[in-house]
Amino acid sequence: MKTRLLAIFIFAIFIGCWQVVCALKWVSPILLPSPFDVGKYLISSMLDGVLLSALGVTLSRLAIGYVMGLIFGISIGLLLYHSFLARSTLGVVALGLQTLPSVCWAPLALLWFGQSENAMYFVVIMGSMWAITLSTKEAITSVPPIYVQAARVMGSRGFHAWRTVVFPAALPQLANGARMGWAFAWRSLMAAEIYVTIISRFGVGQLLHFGRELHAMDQAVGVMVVIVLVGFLSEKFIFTRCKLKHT
Amino acid sequence: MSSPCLTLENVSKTYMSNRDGRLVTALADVTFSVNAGEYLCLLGRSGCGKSTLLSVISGLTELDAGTIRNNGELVCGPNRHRMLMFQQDALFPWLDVLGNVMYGLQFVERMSRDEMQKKAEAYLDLVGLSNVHHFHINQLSGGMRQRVALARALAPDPNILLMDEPFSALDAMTREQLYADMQRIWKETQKTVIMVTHNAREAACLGTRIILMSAGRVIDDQPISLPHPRTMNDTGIGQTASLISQRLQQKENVESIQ
Ligand SMILES: Nc1ncnc2c1ncn2[C@@H]1O[C@H](COP(=O)(O)OP(=O)(O)OP(=O)(O)O)[C@@H](O)[C@H]1O
Ligand SMILES: [Mg+2]
Repeated sequence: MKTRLLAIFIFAIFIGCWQVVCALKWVSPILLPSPFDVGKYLISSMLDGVLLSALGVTLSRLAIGYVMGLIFGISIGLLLYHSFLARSTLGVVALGLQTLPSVCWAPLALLWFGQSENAMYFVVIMGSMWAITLSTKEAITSVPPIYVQAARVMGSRGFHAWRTVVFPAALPQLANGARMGWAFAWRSLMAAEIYVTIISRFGVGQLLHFGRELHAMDQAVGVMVVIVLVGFLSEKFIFTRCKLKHT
Repeated sequence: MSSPCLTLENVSKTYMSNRDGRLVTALADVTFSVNAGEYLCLLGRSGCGKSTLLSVISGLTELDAGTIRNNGELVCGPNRHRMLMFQQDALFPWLDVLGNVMYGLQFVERMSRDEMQKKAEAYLDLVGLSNVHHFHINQLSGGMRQRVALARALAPDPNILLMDEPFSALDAMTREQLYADMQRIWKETQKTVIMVTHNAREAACLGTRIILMSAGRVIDDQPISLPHPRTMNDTGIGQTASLISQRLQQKENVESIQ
């Protein structure tokens, strides 16, 4: 409790200093808006619904893109686990693509899908699925074979052994991969929303982009705060909650 | 004690070594039979094929040649009449103690969840673990884990219990306690036990019969007629153990000369 109070105090001092720096005009307000202006922007855009609707659009894109990334990632991960041929071909490609920063998918996405929703999904899927693919394959490969043998001795076969042994044994690592995929999907979506200029359905990435275009730095910084919050809260609440007991 | 519970005839198994592709003979022409209620100890040096023998008896590993019959029935694939306790720890860490013991019961026909739980609890009582039902596996000591593994293997009521060096990773005190419990459980359940060990004293303390192995072959087969229950301090145990060790050495020397 004490450390928490201290942390809040330090944050308050930090924001206070920031406010003072801006109030004294030590830096130009075009470069750095004051926390007061940022707060004002956040409240007004919250009230007129712009921010909330953008957040809704972004989160729905994230959810759809991420789920697709999971589906593709896990399927290809299973394929890699099963087939030596797939491992030595697709596996190498996956390893390479996983290192590719997701922004690099944007040009290709624009070329193939134009300025569209699909272009954004493409970037999110490509940005997240390879990490999920590799961690799925890794998770299943590292299940000690002794567990499956023990299950077989007791009478488990085929899919039953998968459901009751391989899957739960791999779950902690699978969850880890899913969490990594989520982080990648979130970063990819922000890149996609900044690159893909769409006319309807603005997401927070687009708000950030317009903030910069219009030199509305209070908007740009305000939206950044929102983006950080979304990332932070999802890490903290969705994924730490589902950490498993036996790990 | 008349008709054998398990018979092995000319059982052979060869592995291809992963490293250099050479063939490794794990079992060569193994023939013996085991009567119901026996406590058979398999003894031999590391790599002589003891684990492989248990694995083929369980049905987990396929034979290259020969036949294995369990109560007259040809063994092909694992089934619940032969339960194997592995050399390495094979309890499921994602289940609690009760869940582990219940796992094998889901393959026993006509058993409701309640019955499964009752049965699992009864076997946990038998192995002396009545108050850790909901512990996670990594909260248990080594000795407790082996007890859980034993309860898990006994719960489906197999007619043969196969144990691969079940006590070798434990400290001396825990081990002696388990020897006593193991003899009691063997008497109570009247199971046929085949246990691998590399410790002659352990074999002398528990077994009714000892088979010595070397390089995949059975080189000696002797009954032990000391009365149960035995403890490690009994005078007969030390003598029997040193006899066994001597015999193992002699036979191995003879083998290596031939
Ligand atoms: N899956 C396998 N693939 C290749 N070789 C194997 C395999 N399993 C066992 N072997 C070989 O077969 C031989 C017998 O192995 P086994 O595990 O049965 O020995 P063991 O008597 O149980 O030894 P230990 O006392 O060390 O457990 C060894 O030479 C081993 O290298
Ligand atoms: Mg072994």
